[in-house]
Amino acid sequence: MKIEDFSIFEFSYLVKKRQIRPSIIVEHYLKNIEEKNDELNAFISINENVLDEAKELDARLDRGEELPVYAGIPLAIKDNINIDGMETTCASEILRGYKATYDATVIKKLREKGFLFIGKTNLDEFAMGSSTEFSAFGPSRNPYNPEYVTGGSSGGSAAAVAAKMAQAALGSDTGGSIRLPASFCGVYGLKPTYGRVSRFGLVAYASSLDQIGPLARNVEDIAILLSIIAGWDSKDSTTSNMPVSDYFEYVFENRKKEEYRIALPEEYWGEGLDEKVREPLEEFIGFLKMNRFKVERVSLPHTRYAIPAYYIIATAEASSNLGRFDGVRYGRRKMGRNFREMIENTRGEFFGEEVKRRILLGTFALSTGYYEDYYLKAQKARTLIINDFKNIFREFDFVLAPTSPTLPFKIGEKIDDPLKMYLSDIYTVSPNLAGLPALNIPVGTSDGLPVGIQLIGNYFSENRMLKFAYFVEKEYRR
Amino acid sequence: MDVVIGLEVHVQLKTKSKIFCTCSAEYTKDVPPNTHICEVCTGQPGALPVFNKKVLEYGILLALATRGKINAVIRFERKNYFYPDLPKSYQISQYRAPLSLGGYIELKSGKKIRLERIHMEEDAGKLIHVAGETFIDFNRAGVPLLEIVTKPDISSPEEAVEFLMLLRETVRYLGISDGDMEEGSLRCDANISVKPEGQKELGTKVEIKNINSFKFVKRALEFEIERQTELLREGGKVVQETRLFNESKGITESMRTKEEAHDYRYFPDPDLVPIEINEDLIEEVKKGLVELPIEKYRRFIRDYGLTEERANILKSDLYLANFFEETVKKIGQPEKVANWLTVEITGISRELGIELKDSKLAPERFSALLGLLFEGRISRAVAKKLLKRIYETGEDPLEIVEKEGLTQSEGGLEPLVQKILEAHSEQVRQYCKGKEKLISFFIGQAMRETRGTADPVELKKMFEEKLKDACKSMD
Amino acid sequence: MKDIELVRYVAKLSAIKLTEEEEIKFSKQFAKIIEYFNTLNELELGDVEPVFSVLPLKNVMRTDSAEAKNPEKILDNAPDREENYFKTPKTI
Repeated sequence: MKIEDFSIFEFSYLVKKRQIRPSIIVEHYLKNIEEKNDELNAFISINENVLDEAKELDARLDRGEELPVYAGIPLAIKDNINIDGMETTCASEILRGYKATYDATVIKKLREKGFLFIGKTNLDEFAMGSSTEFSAFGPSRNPYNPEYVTGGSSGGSAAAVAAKMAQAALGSDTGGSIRLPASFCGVYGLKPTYGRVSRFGLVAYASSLDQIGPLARNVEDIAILLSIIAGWDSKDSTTSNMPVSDYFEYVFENRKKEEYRIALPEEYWGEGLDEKVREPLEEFIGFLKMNRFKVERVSLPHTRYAIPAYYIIATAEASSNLGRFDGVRYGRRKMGRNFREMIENTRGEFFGEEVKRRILLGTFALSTGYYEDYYLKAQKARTLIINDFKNIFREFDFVLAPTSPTLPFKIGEKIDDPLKMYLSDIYTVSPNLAGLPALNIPVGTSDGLPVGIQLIGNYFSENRMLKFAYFVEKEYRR
Repeated sequence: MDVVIGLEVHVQLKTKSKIFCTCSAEYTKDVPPNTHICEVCTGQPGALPVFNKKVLEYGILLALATRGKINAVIRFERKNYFYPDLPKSYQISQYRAPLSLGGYIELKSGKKIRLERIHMEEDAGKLIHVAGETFIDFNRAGVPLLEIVTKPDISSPEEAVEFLMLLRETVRYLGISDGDMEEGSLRCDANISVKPEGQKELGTKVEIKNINSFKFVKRALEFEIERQTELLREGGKVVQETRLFNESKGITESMRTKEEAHDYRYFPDPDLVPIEINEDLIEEVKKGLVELPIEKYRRFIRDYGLTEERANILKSDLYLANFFEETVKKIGQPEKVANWLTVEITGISRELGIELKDSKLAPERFSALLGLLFEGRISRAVAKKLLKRIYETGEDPLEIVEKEGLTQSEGGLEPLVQKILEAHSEQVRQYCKGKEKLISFFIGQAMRETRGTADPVELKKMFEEKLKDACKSMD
Repeated sequence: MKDIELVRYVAKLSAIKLTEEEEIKFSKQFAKIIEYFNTLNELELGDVEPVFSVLPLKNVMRTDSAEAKNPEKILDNAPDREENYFKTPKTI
């Protein structure tokens, strides 16, 4: 067994029993990074102190000290989540050189449990994209085939996990940004219920849609990470005070087999779904039926409006959220003769094309005369989309859908057609609009590229979703 | 010409911390620049706002005091524009679901100036412009504000000033703001238009900004009325624009900025959740309500028979008004007490540069002192001298008077005056013959007798009267 | 408004200086994207309440207490700083 095949729980046990030293774990992952990152471009920056931090933990173990439960296990963090003192670039020229002044709440919580942060991962600039090609640091490449994209926007995190350059990773998901790259790279990726995880310290793209979530190679790691990062935060007014389950315990301690009622919405399984994706997914559905789960076709009639509603709301919020990058207090500045010229130059020069496109679209959707026709309509359509799901969850536990309509595409294939790129998110945006949790479960490959299925649960049903995913992980072999 | 004025007033709230973060809300000159700042109020990437409940309570209090209709569900919205003092490039404010709608402030004449709305928002940082560069201090960024918008009900500069005074007194009475225009804790923009008398449709309005004192409110509005009236008389047209008041020239000037698109793109702030204001909260806040300045003013006139002027001075300062009532409760004589407070105390306070509430003088000492005076045990002059002393030291007037023998004999000064005139009949005769300068001789005698405790003005009056009688009987 | 004028207008509102090529490219793309957004017009939305927040959260507030902060890290990131001030070119 290789080091990277252990789970977080197993490492925790081994370190506690002094059977492995934190520095060995970290060195191993650093070696993988050294071997693979040049090709895959998963990391924007590596934490240069991480080995010293691990050695410090070694020393503390040698002195017989009790360490935090997950001491020395290295995680990769998407580079739009603040780690105090490290650069946060959001893969943008405009933030090149910016040093975060505080820890995001998720980082603070993970740090307290002993995790180390091995590096910051690549993303589409400000998380705006579905391929991780829109990065000021160049595209990340798919570990299964470097000619292909990783999916986005958390492509660096997905590639780092898939290529075993970190134990697990954090990403952020606004319209599929965890699930799509998880699907393209063949790993688990969870977007929690909106408000389950604090957004404090996550550089905002679209505040009402953004959630931080874990990406990992196994369900166990997802469960442990979620248990730690979930919960109410006094610094994020939109977090829920619903008690946090011990997901790990729920999934692994209680061995009772559960029954599941699964809905397959016809809007997600019709035209537009690539046959290469459909095939392995239908095989998987067969497996569920064999297990005697109730699997039924349903309809989510407003699905067709999810993409326009999503892009209106997301760009509107983004246009406001990204106003702060003006070259006044931090980040880069391009001079002008006066304040106004300076900020126009700065934002014109240092924002990438996709970011500019979305800011302009969002500004349009909010401006006088268009607010009612676009922003307000989108927020009303969102109500209809939420009601669709509420109706289904009266009778079903989960909605099952493809994560992506296509296999991973080639680098450069969609980069010049924004609308085509936007349609990559066609199956992933609805859970964000509704605030529902959604998980990518890898279920096979087609043409040597991974295929994932998307499990959408009711609000705060992450425990049951993870138990289902664990069952699949153990029982399903294609 | 008819004058139509509407005001937009910003009141800075006296909270400990800022509206959306735990930075101290203090930003005065004593606070070094950019020390009361954090990731939230400087708009660092990833920072999020958390609303300060005190701001809501203060807002509700003002809405109740102005009889506004408090909305059951309120929201914050983002007002988007770029300026160096605005760290997030949007101001968190309220737009479609503000704290309250309607309400009014009643002027002394009984006229009600109706309010459009009251809403909560955050203040911006401070800019200092030096030689082609702009320096920014974010200590003020995120300090809580209430914005009070009136309907165009104000019809003269005097009414505008009275409205502002009453609003200032109201927020001070409620203890929610310093209400100081010079310090910027009360700021005012004015919309003003003129139209021919009786004309129904409103004239073109002009917005005036940068008015930093009550004096300037009046001057700016007067100037603008004159300017607009002149324009219309000459057959010209008023241009809808924003004008800045120039303090040194006493005039308003067009901002003349390039036509920059203004579109604030308000939308509900997704980082904050709605606030439901229920009856329980309103009842709780209601406990902080006090008698309003205008009510106090009317009561002082009605119950104490004060003149309008006296009542106005007393109500303008809650501490002074309470001081007045406590004193009257002890010794009555409201008119005299009001006189002493508005004339003597005001004079002493100005002379020493110490406000009454910061002085050592308490109502107990003050009423004891006035008691001595009203009983005739000390003279006016002694009372005045002692008042100034106690104002600074807080000593007991009874003790001082006894220890230093400052009482005047029974029956006041009259027996003394009589005695002196009897003892100096020659001087009396000469006085009656026309040597009126001798009056100072008599006064001097009396002052010596009383060791300087008597009031020379009073003595002069008494001697003049007695001598007049004496001269008459001599004829 | 013509497409290119719309792009120029929202670019001004967004304080983003665009090159001529960007203006042309964006105006072509926007025409298509906005047309796609218009699919929302198929919906009958008259009585539908818009979403303000997906969770039924309300009245999230903190008590009024102040803490001392460490502003140095924040000032350190300033592109232009003089002593304890951030600096920008003049506003007018």
